[in-house]
Amino acid sequence: MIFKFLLLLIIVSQLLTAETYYINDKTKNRIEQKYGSGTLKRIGALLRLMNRLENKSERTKLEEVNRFFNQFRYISDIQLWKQKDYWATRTEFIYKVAGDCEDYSIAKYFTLKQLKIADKKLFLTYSKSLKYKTAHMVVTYFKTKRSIPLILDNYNGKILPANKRKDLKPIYSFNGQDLYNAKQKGLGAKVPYGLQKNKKWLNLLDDIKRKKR
Amino acid sequence: MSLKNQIAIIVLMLLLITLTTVVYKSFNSTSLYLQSQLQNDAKNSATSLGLSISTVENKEDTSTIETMINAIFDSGYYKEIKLVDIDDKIVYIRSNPNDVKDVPQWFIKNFTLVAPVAQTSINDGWMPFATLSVQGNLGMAYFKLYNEFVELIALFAIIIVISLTILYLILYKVLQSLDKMALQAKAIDNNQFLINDVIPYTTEFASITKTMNKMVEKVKIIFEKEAKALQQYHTLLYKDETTLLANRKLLTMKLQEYLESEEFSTGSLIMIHFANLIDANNKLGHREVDKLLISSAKIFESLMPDSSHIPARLNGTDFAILTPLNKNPKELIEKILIELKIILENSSIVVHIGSSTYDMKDKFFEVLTRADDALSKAKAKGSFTYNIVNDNDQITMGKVEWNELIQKSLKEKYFLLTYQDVHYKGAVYHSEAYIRLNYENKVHNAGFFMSMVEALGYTVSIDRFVIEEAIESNRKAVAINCSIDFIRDAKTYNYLDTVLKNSEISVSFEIGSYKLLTYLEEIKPFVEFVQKRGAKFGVDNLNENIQNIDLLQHINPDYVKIDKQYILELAEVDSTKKNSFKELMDSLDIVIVATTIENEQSMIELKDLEIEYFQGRYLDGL
Repeated sequence: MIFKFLLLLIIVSQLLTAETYYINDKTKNRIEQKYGSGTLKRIGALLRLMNRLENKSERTKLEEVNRFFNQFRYISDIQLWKQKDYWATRTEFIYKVAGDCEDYSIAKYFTLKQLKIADKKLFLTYSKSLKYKTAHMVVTYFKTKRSIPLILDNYNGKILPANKRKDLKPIYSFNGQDLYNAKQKGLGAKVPYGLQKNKKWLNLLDDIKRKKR
Repeated sequence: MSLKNQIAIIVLMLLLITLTTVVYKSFNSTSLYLQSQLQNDAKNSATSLGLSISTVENKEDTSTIETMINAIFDSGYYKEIKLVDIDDKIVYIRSNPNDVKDVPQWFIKNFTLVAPVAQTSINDGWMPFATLSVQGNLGMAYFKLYNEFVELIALFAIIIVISLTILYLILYKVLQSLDKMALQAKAIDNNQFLINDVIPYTTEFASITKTMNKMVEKVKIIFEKEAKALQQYHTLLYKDETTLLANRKLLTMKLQEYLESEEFSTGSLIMIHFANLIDANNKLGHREVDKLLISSAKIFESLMPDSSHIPARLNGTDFAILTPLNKNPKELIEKILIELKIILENSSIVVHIGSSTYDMKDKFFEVLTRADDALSKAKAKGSFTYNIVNDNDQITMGKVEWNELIQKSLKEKYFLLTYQDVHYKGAVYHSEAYIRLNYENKVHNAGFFMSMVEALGYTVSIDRFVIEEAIESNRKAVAINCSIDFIRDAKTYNYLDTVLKNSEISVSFEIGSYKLLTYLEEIKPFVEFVQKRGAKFGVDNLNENIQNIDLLQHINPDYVKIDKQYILELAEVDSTKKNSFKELMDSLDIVIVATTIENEQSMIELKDLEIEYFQGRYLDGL
């Protein structure tokens, strides 16, 4: 068992260094210390997926990423984090293997963005679930600025165009990164003014790095 | 540049650097903060306005949307609110020209603030409909920034003023001691013994001051020791041991000197004989009689107007008083008799006084003989009596006639100058001017008219006449004797200022040594004044007044003139076999001019004593 695990680690680390998406050793140690080796294993799986998807079509990327995160369990913030409204980072989401609609949306949004899907095509959209009568958040994808967006959410595992989702009513859309920054500020994270428009800031919050090619 | 200014410049530069950095930092952070606030406000407005617009049912009819934008724009402070559709066509725009009141244009030009633009997209259902941009107005930010800028600059100015003031006060206090040190150094250079009583607080300055003080004290002690030795030699040579009056030797020298002199060649010689001294010695004892003689000497001294009048003890029983310029000593003699009578009342001692006038044409022994004759006649008259012999050979003129003569002589230039050179290593050091009067086809020297000039108050006019004539004389350097009246005259300083400025030749002013002690405070500023204007100052006829040599360090003359006799005699009694007088004068940087050089022999002797400046008939007759 231990042998197998070590072997896996070696393979993972080799993969990590060889591939586009990776986490560095320091981060790895930190994650293992803080969340345990299980979390590290699951991050490894996500990395493998991302590396596989690197040169695939946008549609494939949407399908695979949506499928990967939809495996996680839905649990409300109050149950999971003992807080009314908590936005988990992607690493925390992977650690818990559970979360609410915002956690799903954010994890999907940032993963897709890292997979080089353009900013202007992806939005975080506040909407209302007509079925459950609750506030909801989904990721919307616009192939062109006039096309009907595709909806990625955790209620329906399938990616459907908006007009096929009669259970949802759109309220308001945000550029994902602006919204995330604003929310982190609200949660008390320090967001220096000069860095707000800088992409490096996002990298600071994210454990997964992308190699420059 | 003075130390004070150098330090001030360094401190000012440090202050400027520090304060500029502080102001820049504070200004920068304020401007960053203001921009961040503007961004947040713009973002909040954009989101809430966007949310309202997305609830409008019929978005084709833009009137509702426009009203919403108007409501937000008018109730807030924005530069621009703009709604652009997905084809980048402007649906609606409101903007406010960038008109910032109360902030000068140069400020806006130099400190550019960027108003952040917040953007949000508005959907119609799931579909994007338009983009809303909101830009906050910079007016408030500029206003705040400008106010802060003005406050900072004001604060900056106040800090600089306060710190420079404090700095100057401290520097002033510290450097005051430095100024004093500089003054002391200058005094040392001038051979003056200045002690700094206030030791500065700053340690380095304190140690320098202490060292300088020590040095000055040492030199001063050496000087005083030498001066004391010289005074001792002087006493040994020229003083009567008991009464400390001049002895016979000095009186003889002075009488000879006066007879040959310009100023004092007329006057009286008074002889005073104390009779019954042997009897008194037997009755009262030697000591008591000496006491009486000393008291008598004190009386003589107290009646002398200045040190040109010389009381002397010739032998055990005879005293004499030489009173130059006084041809009628009756008043003086009567005063002496009254006072002597009082102190000699209880003794058997009695006094007889005989007096004879003298004149420049007299021989030395003639004067002595005449005075002795006068005394013999007084003795015949009885105790406490006197007898005055006048030579009636004098041109007898009243004050009125004299007044006319002097006025006329000044106007018609009957006065004329003659010169005697002072030689130094084969060259002429200067030519001393002597005044003469051409009266009735005969040239008279100063002795003839000087006492009347003084009595009638013409000294200042005569001195000015001499100065003006001497300066016009085409000689390289002239020396002029000036009177105390001239020095004390209120107009003299202004007069000399003009004269010396226009003079092309070197001028020396001289004053007789017997006036030094009495008029020290008037002479000191005069010397400083003329020396500052490039003229020299000399003390004439130092002679027996050598005992007041310590006065010279206060006056700081360029040279002294002294009868060669005194130099030679002092050198003879000098037990250390070195010339104390010469050493003293060297230590004060004073040139010694030996006068009355009448033959080569005395010049050779003086040269052995390292005397190099000579004046006298042997070198240059008058």
